[in-house]
Amino acid sequence: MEQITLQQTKSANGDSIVLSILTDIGNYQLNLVRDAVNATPDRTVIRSENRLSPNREWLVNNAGQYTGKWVALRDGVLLETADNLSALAEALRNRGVKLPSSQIMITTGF
Amino acid sequence: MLLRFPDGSSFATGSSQYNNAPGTELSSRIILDVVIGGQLTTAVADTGIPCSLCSPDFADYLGLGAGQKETANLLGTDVKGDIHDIDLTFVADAGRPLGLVVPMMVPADFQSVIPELAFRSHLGMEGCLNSITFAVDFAHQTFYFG
Repeated sequence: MEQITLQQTKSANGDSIVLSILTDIGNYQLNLVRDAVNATPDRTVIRSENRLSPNREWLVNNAGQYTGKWVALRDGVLLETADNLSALAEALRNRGVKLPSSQIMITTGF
Repeated sequence: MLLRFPDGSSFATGSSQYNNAPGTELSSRIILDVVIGGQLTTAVADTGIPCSLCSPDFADYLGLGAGQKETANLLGTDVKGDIHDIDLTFVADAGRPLGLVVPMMVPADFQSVIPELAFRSHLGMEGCLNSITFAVDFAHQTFYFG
């Protein structure tokens, strides 16, 4: 009868879990990185490599014009600007935006 | 490419590009994209202050009430404020984002604080920068963290 044994160990550097699968026809190892398995796919916190995010690109080009003000950005587009954060939040809520938001950047000008 | 120690273990698990705000008074600062208390925003990474700071406006926005009363010496000035443990995520352009629970001070007497410190969120040492590994590539404006 074919038998399969699973063994779970930590990698030498502690970064990942090594899952060993021992079978009659061979042994296999999977190197599982915990955060990669559990990571929530959130496009605001994982970006493509080697390019500025649209919001960051907007800030580089425009934030100097909004010193002392608050701005709200989504995908590199200026949604609202206000002299203070409470006014900015009110304007966003009037648009139906649910706050706080990990999709819309709220920041001061530079 | 992310950074590794000589034994192959990870030094940095993520990195993000920061802009140095060319032409503005903040041109020498490291201004990172972060999520604080569920809100995507920016914060200044600052090894010169002992604790992280959340501006009073931003604290009101997040609905933070009274916290633990503390006094911190910020750039030679004793500042009173409320400490809150707040979820913070370093946004990653490459690799994985890094989430922490960070003690942040909301300055109570912010009039006495250097205005920039009271106006923007700052990532200071205690419980934040001193609890992670980080490196900065100024030439490519990249902040590595892990």
